[in-house]
Parts: sequence; C-alpha cells; structure tokens
Amino acid sequence: MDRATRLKAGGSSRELVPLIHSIARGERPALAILYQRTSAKLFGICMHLLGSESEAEDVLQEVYVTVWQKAARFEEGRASPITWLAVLARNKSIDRLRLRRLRTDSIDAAADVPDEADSALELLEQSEQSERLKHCLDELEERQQAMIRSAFLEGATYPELAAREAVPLGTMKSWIRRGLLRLRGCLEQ
Amino acid sequence: MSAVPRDEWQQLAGEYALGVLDGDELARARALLVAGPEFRAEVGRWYGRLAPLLDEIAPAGPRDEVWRAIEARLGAGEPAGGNVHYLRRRVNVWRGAAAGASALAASLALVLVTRPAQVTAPVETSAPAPAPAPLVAMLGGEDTAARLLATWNPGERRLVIAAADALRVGDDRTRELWVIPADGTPRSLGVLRGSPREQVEPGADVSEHLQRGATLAISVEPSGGCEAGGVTFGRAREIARPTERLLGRGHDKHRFLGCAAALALLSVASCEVSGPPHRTQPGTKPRRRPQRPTACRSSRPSR
Repeated sequence: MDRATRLKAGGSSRELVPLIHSIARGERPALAILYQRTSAKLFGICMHLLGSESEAEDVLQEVYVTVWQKAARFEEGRASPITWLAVLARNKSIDRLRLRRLRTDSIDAAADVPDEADSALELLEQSEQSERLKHCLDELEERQQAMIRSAFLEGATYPELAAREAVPLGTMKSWIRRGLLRLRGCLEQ
Repeated sequence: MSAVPRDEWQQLAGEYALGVLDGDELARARALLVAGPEFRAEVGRWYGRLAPLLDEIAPAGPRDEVWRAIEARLGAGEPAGGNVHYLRRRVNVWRGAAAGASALAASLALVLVTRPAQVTAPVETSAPAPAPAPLVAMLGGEDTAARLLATWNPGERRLVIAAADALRVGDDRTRELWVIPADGTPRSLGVLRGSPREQVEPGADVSEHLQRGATLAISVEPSGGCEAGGVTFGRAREIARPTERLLGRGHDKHRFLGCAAALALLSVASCEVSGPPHRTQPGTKPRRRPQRPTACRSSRPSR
C-alpha cells in the first residue's frame, strides 16, 4: 500500500457504506480496505489544517480509531461515509490545532469535548452538492466568503480573523453571522 | 432549548460548525451540544452544508507507518507491526517488478508472514503456539488500490479472501488461488468464483505452509484454471529477472512462474518470509533455523 496507490484511491458512497457496516460488526479487514480507499483524502485534510506531517499522522490515526469504535453509530442515509469521514478528520485536526495553541499561549483553557462533538457529527445531514455550495458562496460578499472559507478550512476563530483583517471583533462576528444566515437561506431555497 | 431563542441557537450552531467560536460562546455551544438534541441536529446540518469545501483540498498519501500504528492501537489480533511492514515491502517489490513486465499487469501476489512472537519461542519441539492469532495480508493490483484481504485463521484452518470489489477479468478467464511455500513449488487452492468473500479450507499440509509463512498469489488463467495445477506451473519458464535487481543482496532467488500462455503469477516467495532479511543470515538467529526449510537456502539463481 504505497502512497501513489492511496492517492488514486477513493470511494463512492455505494462502496463505502457496506464497509462501514462491516466495521461496525467488528470486521478488521474492512477497516483496512476503508483506510486504503479514504486515507489519502483524509490525510490531505489533516495536512492542510495542521501543516505538520507528524501531527497530521497522529490525527489520521485518531480518525480511524474513532471510525473503528463508532462505526455502529454512523447513520446511513443521513450523510455519505466520505463526508462523515472528511468532517471527522477536519474536526479532529482543528481540535489538535486548538491544543497546539493552548500549549503556546495558554488562553482559553476549556478542554475539548470530543464525544459531544462526535455526536453532532452523527447527525451530519446529507451533504450539499459542491456546485450548489459554490453557487451560494458566490452570492455572498467576497470578504464574507473568504472568512467562511478560512474558518472552515484553516480553523481560524473570530479573534484570529478579526486580527488578520484588522477589524474590530464585533465587526468580524456580524460579517460572518450575516454570511451564514444568507448562506443557509440560499441553500434551503 | 427553550431558554435560548431559536434564531440565536441556530446561529450559534452555524458558528460552532464553522469553528469560529471561542471563550464563553464556545462554552455555551458545548453545553448545548450536550443538552440540546435540536442544537446537535442543526450543527449536523451545518457540517453537511459546509462539507463540500473539504473537496477543495488535494489528497496526500500518508506514510505506510501510519496504518501500522493504527493496527497497533487497535490492539491484539492484528499482525505485529514488523510483519506488516515486511509484507508491504514484499508487495511493493512485486509491484516494481510487475511494472517491468507488462504481461503481469493483471496478476497479484502477496505474502503471508508468520508472527515474530511465535518465532521467538523455542522451536526445537515444534510445539504449536498457544491460540495462534489470525494472519492478515493485503493484496494489491498493479493499476488499482489494494483491494483484497487475505485472512488466515489457523485455529479454524480457514483462509478467507475478501475483495472490496470484483476483480476485472474477461469472461474467458478465471482467477486461481495459489500458495507458494518456502520450497518454491506452487500448490493450487482452486479457482475463485469472483464473489466478494471467498473461503478456502486447505488441507493439513497447506495449512502448515501458511502458518510458517508462504506467498499467496492469484493468477489470471484461462477458464477452468491452470491445467494440472502445480505440475505445469512448476515447470513454467522464468519470464522476468528484474526482481533480482530490485531485491538486491541478501535475498534469495525470486522466480516468476508462468502457467501455459496466460500466466501470471509473480511469486516473491522465499525462505525468509518469517522474518526480515537481515535475520536470515546464517548464524545470526540460530534458534530459528529449524523452521527454515533447507531447500530455501540453496535456491540461488544458479538453480
């Protein structure tokens, strides 16, 4: 299982759902196949957010251990497995990012609550189509779109985004809140 | 949920899923996650709305060590890390060699290795290890992601081949499963039907070979399988040599064997399958010698 092989790997929902079911029954080989199919996508997400290969590898491990433990709670029909996995990898990477910041500046000492966060993930709804989300993001002001992307894909928080854009915290919050409201309105049309 | 206006918690759910919250607002969202199913559901919906953004990120291949670490974290019942690594080496070597011989493009091979934990026990008495754990090997095709898993359960003497999806072969072809023990003579385990999960219950002699460590291979054959099984197979000509170069020093001869015209099995079987190559040097691991068939040691290219 070399890198090049995994890079080509992927998986449609149709292929992955039975694998998740097998994993839920405790079939270890199914996890190996799932890893084969999905690890390149998930590792790409971890690397993108964390920028460090060793940290991304740690988080990737956590993701698949979580899948092994929680596959039974994956609800078919709500979301495709690959969406579930991708968001799981993204969330765990962000947890790690926060932990890293905690170590460096010891602000916001609130520990993460992975179990609760994962339980929200179990309710992950069927994912939007990429095209549709793109269309609705394009409807937003450019800076709203950019901030929403940065937050979701880089793990930037309100204070960080405000500092980056050199605007007051309240301004940043209202940009994003209005952006989210509009986005939801557009996606629900 | 009643204490918080609907608009407000809906907004908070979006902010939580987006990941922008910190401080008191984050604490509040976390409290709602625990206490509020509606809030949790809205966070789930937001994840679904935003998830396509993740498709913009390019994939990246993790190092092979990551999967090994995952297996280790999942605990016993898995091949030990060293084994998996060794197996990968084998499969990679096979891939490299197959790339140099296009006729082999449809063939697959893998190695089942015995566990070092068993090997470290005294072997003079040939006593079987207590409750032997299943051996798992992954099998990859030349132009695809690896997609077969072979699990050998010595207790039940059962070999299970699980395929993630059907292997592509023409109607006039079938796949035949082989075991190639350390003596280098392939033995047919029969034709595979092409279903996602196939089970083989080999006889005592083949079982023993599997337990010691052998190459499993799948060849693409004319319908009906390779005629006369191991006999024809064993006489087939060598068709490629690049493995000798790829494998370098310290390895025994690795032969490619053909079956009639349609061939295609590449075996990386050798006598050191039960351990890393450096341990196969004579004298370095004397207690393991009794497990190694003597035929292996002499299977040099001149044979």
